[in-house]
Amino acid sequence: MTSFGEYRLTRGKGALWLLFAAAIVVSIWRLFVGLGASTSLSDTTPWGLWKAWDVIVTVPLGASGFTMAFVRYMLKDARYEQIMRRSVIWAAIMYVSMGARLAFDIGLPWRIMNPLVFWGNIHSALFEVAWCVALYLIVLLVENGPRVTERIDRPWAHKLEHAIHWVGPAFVLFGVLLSSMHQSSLGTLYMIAGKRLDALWYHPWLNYIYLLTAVAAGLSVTILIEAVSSKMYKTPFQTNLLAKLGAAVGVALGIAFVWRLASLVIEGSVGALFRSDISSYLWWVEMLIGYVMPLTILARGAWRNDRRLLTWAAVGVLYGMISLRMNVVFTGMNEAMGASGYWPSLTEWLSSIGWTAGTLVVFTFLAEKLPGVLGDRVKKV
Amino acid sequence: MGKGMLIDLTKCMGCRGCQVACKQWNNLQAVPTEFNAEFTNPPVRSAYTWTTIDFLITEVDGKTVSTFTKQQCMHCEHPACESVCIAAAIKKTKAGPVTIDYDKCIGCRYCQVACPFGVPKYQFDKATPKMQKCTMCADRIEAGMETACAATCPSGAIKFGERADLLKMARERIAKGNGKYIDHIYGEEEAGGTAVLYLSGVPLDLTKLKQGVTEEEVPNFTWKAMRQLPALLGVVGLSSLGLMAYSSRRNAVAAAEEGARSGAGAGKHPSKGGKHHD
Amino acid sequence: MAGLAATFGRGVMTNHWIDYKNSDVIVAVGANPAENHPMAMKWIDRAREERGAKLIVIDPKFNRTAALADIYLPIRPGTDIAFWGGIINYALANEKYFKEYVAAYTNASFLVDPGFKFEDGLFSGATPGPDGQVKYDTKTWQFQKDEKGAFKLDPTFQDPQCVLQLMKKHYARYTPKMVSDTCGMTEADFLKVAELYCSTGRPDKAGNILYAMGITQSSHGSQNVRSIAITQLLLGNIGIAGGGVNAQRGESNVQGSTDMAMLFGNLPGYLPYPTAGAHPTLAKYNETTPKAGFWTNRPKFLASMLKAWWGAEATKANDFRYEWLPKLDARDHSHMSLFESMAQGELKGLFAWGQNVAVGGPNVDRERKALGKLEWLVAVDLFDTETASFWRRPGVNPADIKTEVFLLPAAASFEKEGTVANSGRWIQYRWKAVEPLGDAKDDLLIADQLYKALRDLYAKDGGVFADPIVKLNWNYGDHPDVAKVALEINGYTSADGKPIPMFSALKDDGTTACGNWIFSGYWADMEKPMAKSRIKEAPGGLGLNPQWSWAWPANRRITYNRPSADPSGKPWDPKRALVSWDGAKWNNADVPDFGWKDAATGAMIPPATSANAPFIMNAEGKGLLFSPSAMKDGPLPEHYEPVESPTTNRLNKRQFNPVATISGKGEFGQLAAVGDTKFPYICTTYRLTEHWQSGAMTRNTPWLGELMPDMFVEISESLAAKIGIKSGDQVTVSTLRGEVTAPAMVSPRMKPVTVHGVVTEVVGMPWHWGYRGMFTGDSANLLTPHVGDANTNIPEYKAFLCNLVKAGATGPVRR
Ligand code: SF4
Ligand code: SF4
Ligand code: SF4
Repeated sequence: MTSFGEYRLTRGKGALWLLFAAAIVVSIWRLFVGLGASTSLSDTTPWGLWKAWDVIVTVPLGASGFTMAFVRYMLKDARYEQIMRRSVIWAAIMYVSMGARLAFDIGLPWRIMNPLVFWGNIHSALFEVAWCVALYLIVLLVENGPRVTERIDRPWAHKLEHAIHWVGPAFVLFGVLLSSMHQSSLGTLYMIAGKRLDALWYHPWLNYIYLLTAVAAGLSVTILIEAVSSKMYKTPFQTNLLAKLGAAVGVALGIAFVWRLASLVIEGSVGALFRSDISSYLWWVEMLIGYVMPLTILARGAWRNDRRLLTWAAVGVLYGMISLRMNVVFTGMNEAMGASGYWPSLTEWLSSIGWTAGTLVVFTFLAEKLPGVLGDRVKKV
Repeated sequence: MGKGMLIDLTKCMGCRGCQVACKQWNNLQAVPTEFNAEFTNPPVRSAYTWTTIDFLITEVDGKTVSTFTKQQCMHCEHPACESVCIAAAIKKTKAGPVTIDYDKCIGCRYCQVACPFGVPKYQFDKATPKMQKCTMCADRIEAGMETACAATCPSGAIKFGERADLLKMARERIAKGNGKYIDHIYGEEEAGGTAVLYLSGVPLDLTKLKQGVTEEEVPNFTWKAMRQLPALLGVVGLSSLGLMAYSSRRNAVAAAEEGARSGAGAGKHPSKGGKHHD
Repeated sequence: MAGLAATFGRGVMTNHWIDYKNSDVIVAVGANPAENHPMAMKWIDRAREERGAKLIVIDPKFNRTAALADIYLPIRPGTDIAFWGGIINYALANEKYFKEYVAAYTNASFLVDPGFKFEDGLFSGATPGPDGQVKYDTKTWQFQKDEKGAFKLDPTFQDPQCVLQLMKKHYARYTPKMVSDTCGMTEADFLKVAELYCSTGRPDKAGNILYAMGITQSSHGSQNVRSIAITQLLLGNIGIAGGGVNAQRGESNVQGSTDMAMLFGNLPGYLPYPTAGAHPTLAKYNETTPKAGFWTNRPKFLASMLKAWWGAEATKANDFRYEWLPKLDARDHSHMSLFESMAQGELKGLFAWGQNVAVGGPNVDRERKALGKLEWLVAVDLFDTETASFWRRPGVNPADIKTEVFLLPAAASFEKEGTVANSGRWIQYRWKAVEPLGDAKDDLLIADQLYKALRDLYAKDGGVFADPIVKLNWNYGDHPDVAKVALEINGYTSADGKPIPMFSALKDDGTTACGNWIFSGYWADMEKPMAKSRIKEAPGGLGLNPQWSWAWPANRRITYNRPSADPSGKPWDPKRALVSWDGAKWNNADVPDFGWKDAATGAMIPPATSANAPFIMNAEGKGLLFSPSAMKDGPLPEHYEPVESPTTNRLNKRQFNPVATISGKGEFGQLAAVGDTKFPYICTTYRLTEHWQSGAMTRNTPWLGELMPDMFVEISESLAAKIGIKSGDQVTVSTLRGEVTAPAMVSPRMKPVTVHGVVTEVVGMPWHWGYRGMFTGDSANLLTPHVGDANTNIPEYKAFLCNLVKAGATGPVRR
């Protein structure tokens, strides 16, 4: 017997489903017309919104999975079980979605698996990312497996669940390792540019900055999932537990912050902060919203334990994470690539927004269908 | 070392024979252009234009200066494009050329981001696009011929040969040139050394050669990080295992304490649904 | 070319392309080798790299050659004689000329008729001619002779009537100040160039002047050439390796086509064309044979030519059918006159064979109109050209044009075989690479079929003067065989049809036939003709390559090479030895251009004989500093302004060349007055690397079109600022003849010139565009005037007046 939950289609969700559907249609259309006709990409902006948002940002947005699995299994803190479930299923959605979106971004989508299956280049950070992501998808399947098997009252399902339970910690460890690799390797991607990257975003160890900010962002995503879920599904917002995560966010973010500033000083690039051009303003905004604001909140126990402030801090961290990655792709390489005025096309917007909308509604769908995700709720909705 | 080209900018007269020869040999279509007051045309290199003569017309101390810079793939000795190619489609061949295997390329376009000279160009206009760039006429080299552009160049500005010999020739020209050349062989050190070398009679800012190019081998930029991955794995793995052990122990102690105080009421760790997995 | 023939005896590039590598100073004037003769740059570069040679570029715009030059000297279009006159004056006044050379090999010591004068801008002997112009009687320009008919000389050069003194006097007016004010350059720059170039006036230095259309396309173009030729004679740069006056022809086979009589006044091999009035009989024609020099052989060449044309029909008894040779009337039938006649309705039909007159002709809109007066027009070309489609040009209604037009598709150079003769007179065979596309045929086949059809028609229906056609000796096979044509051009003995070895074998008794005497030798071996020879070797390292193709005359690579050695036969510079006398015999690296061996006995002719007459084609035997008969507009070059000029002539009282061809004939006659304020700018036209001539081929080649897709107008930054435009904006250039709209190119390549204190802007434009093909645009020749050189009638494309304003739209407009 199976006992899946019931999905309630509201107007808001309906709108998101429509956007998602539109994105899929657009993505398929892109296959026929090519990238030039469907995007604003060019030789001077070879990587655009899709690479930046749908891949480089989406992956750390899914960092909630490995960070929470780490908390739950490496720190063996069972209080985080429910939180972890939501974070891990969110991560799975992000990674699957990212994979699909990446396929539409590359020139010959049907070849996406070729490098993994037939040949590859271990010197390529992208190759490394691809492998880790592919493997991590398996980890995520395993980690989320029980959400499904627990709904199926069959001997094989029980056996499977048991097996997963047995190998779980090994997979979690594997997932943590894979994630540290590919989250940092996403930073490595742009290290090939060396100092062609704008001094504002250049960092000699961008890989570690990406890893640190991915950890901070992953935990922040968890905090936000909890905030939204408590609103939508009336799950408990366990401020005390989340504040602890907040403290961890503060540590990771703090290190990244100090290291970035230090590197600016060491590289002698402080002048760049006062160039009074758009990208320098963007840097200041990133620092204020993405680092100073959250760090200020997270540094104090009382503020950290304030549900609203904690949520704001998490939002700030995500802003900082996204800003860094988007700037590296867009403003950071403009000069080196001789690019000017890339603005995503309608197709790119529609696709990115639609796929993102898709991740949200698929989350609601799975959360509602798989009651284990939402767990005990104060009140049934 | 493999083959290369020495491009002597003091000899180039901007006739663009090389540009046309390249299109002809490699069967590249003409692209629609319009009048460009700077003369460079097509104004940018693309999947259909692998080499251009970039014109520069300016004035220095009241004197008109006009230079012609032939641009194409530099065929780095340690190509960034090769190092980042996810599909291992780009290869620095022993003969010298850096080539792209169209059957392997998946179109991730990372090489475009990586190349310090902005060389690879994509067929964005095609539904089944290819990544394109100067091949140093690898097919001709294989057949024992020189590159099409070098063969065409009427002024002898492009010399094809062994990179080592060309370097020697370049040094000789500078030495014998009586100040005709600036003392810099572009490509000797740039990007860690390239198979295409340049001599110039004017400071490089009066040419269209890319300046401020690193002299390090570009693949090292990422390799320095990737090299540390095993260490990263070790640190993360070991600390995870350590934490796991520590946490198990901590939980066991806590459970024992719990057991000792059983019946005292609510546990220290109110566990929700975690009981299976501790 | 007329200027060269009038100085040295032959109208050809004296040296050859590879020889540029032997030069020490190279001047490119009115030539732009980097753009128009790119291969030349290879050898110029060789000279610079190997011998530290210097390159001087003299041109109104800073072109791609200037980009590589050691010295760039801007010059006002159309003032070359002023400039070279200044150099001549500098060399004479500062004793920089090569005295021994001048004394031995030029006519510097000749005494000119006492009646010779130069006054008020006119030489003596002027009588009024048409259009307010004059005609010269050259009687007072002749050299004095003694009782025995020998030229009177003054070896001391003191006699005021001797050529050297006359020149000193004539060019004394060409002071550095006058020259720089006239040419729009600074005195310092002029002197820098004068000093550097005159440094070649010594035995061990070679100076090379190369020119092209910038020199010839002028109302005094032939005298421009003369002034260069005189400079080279004075500096001893003629006949030596690395020297010379190197006329770079405008097309790959211009040399070959003029050799083969493409000019209306010539028969093949530059035999003058007979006119009906003066030369009704062969005897009359032969009466005009020069009395001295190599041209005394002319009757043999003509007889052999007629023999080749009419074969067995031509015998000594019937004057080789001289009466069948069509004769000219006494009128000018060069390009401009032809179109003026056409506009008058005098012409019935026209073959435009590989010619795109509707883009290339001056005042071209009028010429396009004139085409509409024809009954029929045959265009033979690779593509549908502007000429072939003149009836559907923009702005006309095809129904209004009655001309019947035929377009015959021709094969391209790679689709046919045959020879081309390059500027250096090398006749090189080109093999066919591919078959012609579609219906295209090679030109020989087209001519062959056309002739045969005509012959059959005449044979069948008869007609006026049918014999010359019906009886023409035309048998090259069904599909004409190139080798048979070549044999006929080379010449053969009538008896057995075997090729003759050289023109010295030609006779005027009918035993030899020869289509073109100067080509004799290029096909002397039927199996292995020299024209097909490709042996690369250069004895002496001078790059003569005697076994690479065949150069006329007689496979001689450097013409007039006797002066490369001193009168005793010792080379001035042993490193450049072309011919040298070792006391007993001549040692020759090149084929001597003088009598060195008795043809009959094989005995060596000692140097003293040839030292006296080193220029064998001239009756005087010398290089002609002063040219008494050959030039219609004066024995010495004199500066005149272009016909349209912003300034008055300050050097003499005539504004422009008093003998130049001025079209006063109705619709072709629009000319701006001196300093016309409505047309305040100087305009000049030029070519680009990327396109070829009228663009018929290149504008139909996408790879070339993408490089230079659109017509443009090049102006200075100051003019752009004045009318408020920037690069890429559309401007309209207008003259009294028409207007052109195209995007502007604003750059420091173009700068205004200061002419007698007045800053004058110069507007430049390429002339490759038209209304047909893949890449279209306005034709610059809509603007150019119908005026031409006094001797050659080459139109003055390079200097005229225009106005320029901002046009409506921006961005290229395609038409
Ligand atoms: S120049 Fe760029 S594309 Fe060419 S080999 Fe170097 S990195 Fe690769
Ligand atoms: S080497 Fe070959 S492919 Fe490269 S620019 Fe030259 S002709 Fe083009
Ligand atoms: S072919 Fe040679 S001279 Fe011509 S533009 Fe190219 S490099 Fe320069």
